[in-house]
Amino acid sequence: MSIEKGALQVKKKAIDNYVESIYIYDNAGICLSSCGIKPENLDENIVSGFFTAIKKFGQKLIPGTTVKSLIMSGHKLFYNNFKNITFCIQSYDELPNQVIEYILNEISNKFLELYQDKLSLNDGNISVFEGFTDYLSKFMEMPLIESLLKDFGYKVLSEGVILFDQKHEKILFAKVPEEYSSRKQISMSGMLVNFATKLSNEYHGGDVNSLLISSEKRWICVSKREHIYIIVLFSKTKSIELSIIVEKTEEILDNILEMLKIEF
Amino acid sequence: MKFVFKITVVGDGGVGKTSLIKKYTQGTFEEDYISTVGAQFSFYDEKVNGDECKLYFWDIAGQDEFAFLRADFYEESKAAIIVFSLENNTRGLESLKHITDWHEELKNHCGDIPVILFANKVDLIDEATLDDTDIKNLVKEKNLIGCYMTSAKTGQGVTNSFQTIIKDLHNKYSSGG
Repeated sequence: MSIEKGALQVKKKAIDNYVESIYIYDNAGICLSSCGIKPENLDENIVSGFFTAIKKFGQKLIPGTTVKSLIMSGHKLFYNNFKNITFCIQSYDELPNQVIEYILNEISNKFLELYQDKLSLNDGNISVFEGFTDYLSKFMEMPLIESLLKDFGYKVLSEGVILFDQKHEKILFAKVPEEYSSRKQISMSGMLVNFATKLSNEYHGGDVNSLLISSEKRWICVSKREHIYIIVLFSKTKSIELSIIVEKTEEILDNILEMLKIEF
Repeated sequence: MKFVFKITVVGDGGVGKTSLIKKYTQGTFEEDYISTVGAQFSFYDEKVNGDECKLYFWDIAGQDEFAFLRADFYEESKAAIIVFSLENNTRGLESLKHITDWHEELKNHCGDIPVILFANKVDLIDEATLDDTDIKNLVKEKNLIGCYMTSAKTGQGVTNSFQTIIKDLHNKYSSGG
C-alpha cells in the first residue's frame, strides 16, 4: 500500500511541474541520464533506443531533416540535438513550447558544460554521467514557476501569473488555479486595457502599459508589451506597495519575454 | 564502473536472431516465427569483475525491405553478431553464403569492431557430421572473435557465446579501450 501511495506522490509531483520525464542519450541510443515517470519495468535504454530509431527513420524519410517533436493526445515530446547527443523532454500538452525549449536549453547547456570532454571518450562507461540524474531530479522537483522565477533573481509574492498572446489568441504560460485561466477571463483583461487606452488617448496619455485593479480580495495587475499581456494576481492579505505591484509585474513580463526569446 | 555496450545483431531473415536474444535475455523460446519490423531492442545485465555491464542489443531486421535503415541503426555499435542458420535447406545455405556480405556491411559502417559468428539451429543437424572447415577459414580470414554453435530452441551454446562477447568488451573498455 505504501508503494502505491509513493507512486501517486511521484506522479502528482510531476504533474505539478508539467514535465513528465527527461532523457539524455547518444546516437547509439544509449541513455546517459534520465529522470521522471515511465512505465514500470521499462528500461530507459529501450525508450532511448526507440527515440533514436524514430529519429533515424525520420531522417531517412525526409532527408536533411530531424525530428524536433512528437505530439500525442495530451502529451508531447520535444528534442534538442547537439552533435551526437539528444536531449528529450516528455511533458503534458499544457506546457507551452517556448517553456519546454527553455528547459531543454537549460539542461543541454548544463550537461555539455559538465561533460563535453567526456563525450569524446565514447567507451560505453556511463558512470561518469551518474551525477546528472540528481540535477535532473532537483530540476523536476522544483515547481516550474519557481524554477523560472529563480532565474529572474527574485521571489514574487504573486498568487498566479498568466501570459497571453493576443495576436495569436494563445496562452503562452499560466500558473494559476484552473478556474482563473479561461480564455474569456484573459481576453477580458485585453479588452480592459484597450478600453483604458481609448480613455487615455482622450486625455492625450498615449498607450496604456499597465492597469492595476484593486478589488476586495486581490490586486489584479495587467501589463502589456505590444500584443503580449501578463496578468498577475496578488493577495490583498499581503502588504505590498502599489508601485511595487506594477513595477514587479512589468519586471516579470520583461524577464519572461526575454526568457522565451519573444522580440517585437 | 557502469558500462553500456551497443551490440548489433545481423544475419538473413529467419535465421533466429530475435529468438537467440530472447533465449539469452529472457530464457524463453517461441516456435512461431514473427518477422522483426525494423529493429528490436533488448538488454542483459551482468557483473564482470565488479563492473556493471549492460549488453544493449539492436536486433536488426534481415529482410531486404529494411536495408535502407540498417546503416543508420549500426551507428556507434561496440560489437556485432552475425547469425546464420545451419539447417540443410535453401535458407540455411543462403545465410551461410551471405556472412561475408554482412561482415562487409558492418566493416563499412562500424569500422573494426569485434564481430562474432553464431551458427544457429544446431539442434536441426547432426553435429558429428558437420564439416566446419569453411566456417573456420572464414573466422580466420575475417579475424572474427570466433564461431559458436547455438540453438535458441534447446539453449545449447547460447550462454557461452554471449558471455564471450561480454568478456571481450569488458576487457577492451575497462582497460581504457
